[in-house]
Amino acid sequence: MMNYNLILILLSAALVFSSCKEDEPAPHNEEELITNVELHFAEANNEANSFTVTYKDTDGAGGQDPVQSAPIVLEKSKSYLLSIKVKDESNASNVLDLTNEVAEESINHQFFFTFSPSQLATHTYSDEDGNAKPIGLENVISAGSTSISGTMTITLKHQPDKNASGVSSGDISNAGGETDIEARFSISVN
Amino acid sequence: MPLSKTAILILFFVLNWVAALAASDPCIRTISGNVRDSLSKDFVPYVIITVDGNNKGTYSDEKGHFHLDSLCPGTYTIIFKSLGYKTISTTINTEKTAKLTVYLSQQNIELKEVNIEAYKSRSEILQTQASLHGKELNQTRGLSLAESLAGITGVSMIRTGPSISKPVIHGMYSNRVLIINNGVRQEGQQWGSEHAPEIDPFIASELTVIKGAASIRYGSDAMGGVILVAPKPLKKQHGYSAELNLVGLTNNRQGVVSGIFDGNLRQVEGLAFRLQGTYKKAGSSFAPGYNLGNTGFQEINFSSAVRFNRANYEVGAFYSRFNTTLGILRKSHIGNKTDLLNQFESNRNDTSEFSYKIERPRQDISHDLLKVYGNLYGDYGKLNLTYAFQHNYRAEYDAHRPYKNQLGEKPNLEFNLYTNTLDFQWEHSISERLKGSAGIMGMIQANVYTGRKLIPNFTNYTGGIYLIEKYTKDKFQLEGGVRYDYKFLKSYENLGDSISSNNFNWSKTSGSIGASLDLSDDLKLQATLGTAWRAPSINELFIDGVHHGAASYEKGDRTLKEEMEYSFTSHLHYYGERIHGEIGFYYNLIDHYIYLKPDTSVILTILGAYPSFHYTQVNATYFGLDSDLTIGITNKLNLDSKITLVRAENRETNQFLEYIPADKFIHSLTYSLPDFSILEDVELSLTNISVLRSKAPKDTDHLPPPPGYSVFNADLSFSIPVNGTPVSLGIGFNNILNTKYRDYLNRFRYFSDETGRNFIIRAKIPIEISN
Repeated sequence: MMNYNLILILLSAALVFSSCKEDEPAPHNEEELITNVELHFAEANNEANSFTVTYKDTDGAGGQDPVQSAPIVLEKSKSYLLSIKVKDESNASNVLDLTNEVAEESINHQFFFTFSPSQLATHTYSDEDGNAKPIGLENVISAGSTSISGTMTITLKHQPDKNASGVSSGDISNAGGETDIEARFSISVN
Repeated sequence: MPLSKTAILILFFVLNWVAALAASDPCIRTISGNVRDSLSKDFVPYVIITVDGNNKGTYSDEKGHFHLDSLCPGTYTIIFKSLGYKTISTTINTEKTAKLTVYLSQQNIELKEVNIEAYKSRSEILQTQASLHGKELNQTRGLSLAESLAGITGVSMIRTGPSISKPVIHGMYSNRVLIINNGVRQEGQQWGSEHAPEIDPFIASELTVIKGAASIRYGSDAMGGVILVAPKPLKKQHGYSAELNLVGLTNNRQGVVSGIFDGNLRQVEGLAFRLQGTYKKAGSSFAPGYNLGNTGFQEINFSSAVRFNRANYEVGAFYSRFNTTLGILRKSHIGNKTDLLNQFESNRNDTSEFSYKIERPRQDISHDLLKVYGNLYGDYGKLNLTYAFQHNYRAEYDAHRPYKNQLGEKPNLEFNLYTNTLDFQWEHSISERLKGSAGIMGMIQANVYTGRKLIPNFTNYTGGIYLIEKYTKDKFQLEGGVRYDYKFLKSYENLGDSISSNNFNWSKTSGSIGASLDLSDDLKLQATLGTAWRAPSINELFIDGVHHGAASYEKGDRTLKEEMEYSFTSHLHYYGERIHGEIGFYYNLIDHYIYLKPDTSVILTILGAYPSFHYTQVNATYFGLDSDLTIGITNKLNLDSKITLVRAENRETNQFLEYIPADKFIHSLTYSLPDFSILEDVELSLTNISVLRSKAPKDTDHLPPPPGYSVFNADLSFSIPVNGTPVSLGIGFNNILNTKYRDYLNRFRYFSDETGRNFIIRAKIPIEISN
């Protein structure tokens, strides 16, 4: 008799335990995603001449490829002020601007700009972090003197070695660190 | 294989000396043999064997074999003693007998001891298995579960740097290997190759690897094999005892303290308990010449057990908590493929310095297991009912903390997996020759994540029913088993503003038939044919995201079918006077084998380009050979040779599959002395581990497989009696030559070398507390 009681006790204990757990887990999400890189160009000597181009991947990795909102067209031999914004637009009803967060952690971040072909334009930083090293949220882009089109790759590095050779003048090759953004814009000079 | 040739040459050289020495020393007689059950003819392990009037003694190994050496010529009475069996003694003359087989008859068991039951149920399965216990297990103290098992033939490990390792059996791992932790199927996020088993090896007094599909008894997923983590039975006599283990490792300046306290109350007949805990702290490891930044880890584990028994029943409970924080090599966490290529090209050494600090990227993991069980014994056999609840928590922190301050230091990805299992098992003997077990098991599981999207939430219901019967007649055993499993999976995908649910159902019957035959007292042949199947796991169906450690984008496929395995394993076991060992061969056909296939395209994201991979199915073949041969060169010197060969091919293209262990050869010379001055049980060994270059295709990975390597390890162990109890001490010396090498199955072979020289000190201190 004792034996059957024992089995019953164990079985009911097991049932109690298992029914404690809610069967259907409620999905919830709290992720962070950089989806947008916004480039604001303004002609250095005529700031009214300005335009904004966005590189956007709202559905994150996979799914749709990122898209560039409009072509970037610069005028020959002119200089432009380029400021960059970084946004999370994965939830359309709650767009987050992460630019300030990048600025707050500026010691650990740096943007790099590479032009292909290199005659397209040249780049100089116009901001600096607490250690007087560049960040790249504010820049000057000087268009080349020939009509040409190509790509501009903007890379945001997390924890780059800003003291490594060439890094503070914008050479990415020794920067190390981890890539947070790598966006390839098509660009032309007319 | 130049190494084994050298080994053979050395062997012949040494054998000449042995012959010369044998003539001069009369006290070198040996008696070896095996101990078997008089009815079932099963080999009986752990029988205490003593020589009357002489302090020599030994015990039979897990295969029932024993070996007594250094006997002077003469007549001796040898006593065989084992719980559950009648003690017998036999008188032999060393000049006439060198080998004997002893048959023990079972006592009419009033005392139903847990340990005997455990061994009996295990020996029911005709399957190739190997276990670590006693001295061999001691030598692995301080290592992870996978590292502890890696010395067994047929077993390898897949690693993610020095802090993460998981076991590989016959080339299979993750979802294809089951771990049974103290009788409960371990349920964590085992699908990820960088998700190590959440088990404290100090819980176990024995680790057993069942090689090859063992689905019938353990569940449909066990296609590659099963790892059994078995604790020592609770104390049988009244009183208290304790054991303290201390380990220190120099490479990562790791310290390990582990203690066990056992008690059996005099006040309440049949009530025994155990408390156990382990603390580990390790800093960053060193590869030869440089530090591996952020590879430290910390572990705090605790377990407790209580058992109450009477003549015909037993009830008990067990609770364990595993808790770890582990660092991941800083430079391995990268943004995209460009970063990965930069890492390869720059070949810059890590300039970080040694530190115990664990920073991002890191993992925080905890695993709780609660088990309650009852056993009933009677004429019907043994009935067992076990319920277990497990909660597995895993948090992964990327190198980059979230930008949004409100997310703070929160992990980028978090999983909570809740698992309930209920097992019912009936072990029975229909007649003296026909014995078996039958069982029903069920599982309810739910997984919830927060953070970055990788796999969806899911619930999972699994049920299984099985029957295994074994027929024994003299030297022949025949075993057959059949099992039916059902699995239901419901996924909950977050589409932003809505949830998309998918239901999946799988069910299948699997079966196996095995036979073993004693060709002679020394030689046993065993073969098993079986089927097994496995439903696709959640990641194979749904994964969708970026894998930062490998700079890859992985995509699941929800149309995947179940995998179907047809396996053949065979095993020849020889236990001669001077030579003993075993050789196993297996051949498995797997239809709809699921694997991660590289795409030719890249995936473009805001972080740049990632090579893309997707889960797909092919028909595959796995086959291989395991061999373990020990040659007694002298009574004190043994040469042990272990070979592990695995081949896995895509049957459609005849190409080798990726991430399969490369050919591995382990040779060791062991010199043992029963006593030396005040030291007892002295053992000195020198081991060489040689691994060849993997045969995996060179062009489907970021880098071709690294070249083969060869490392040397040494170990010295002995015990010193302190107040009558032996304190075991050991000194290990791994990678003596500080060899620089990379292992194909280490995911961090892209970024860094394996760890260098490591000096290990171990102490095991038993404490007898008189009541």
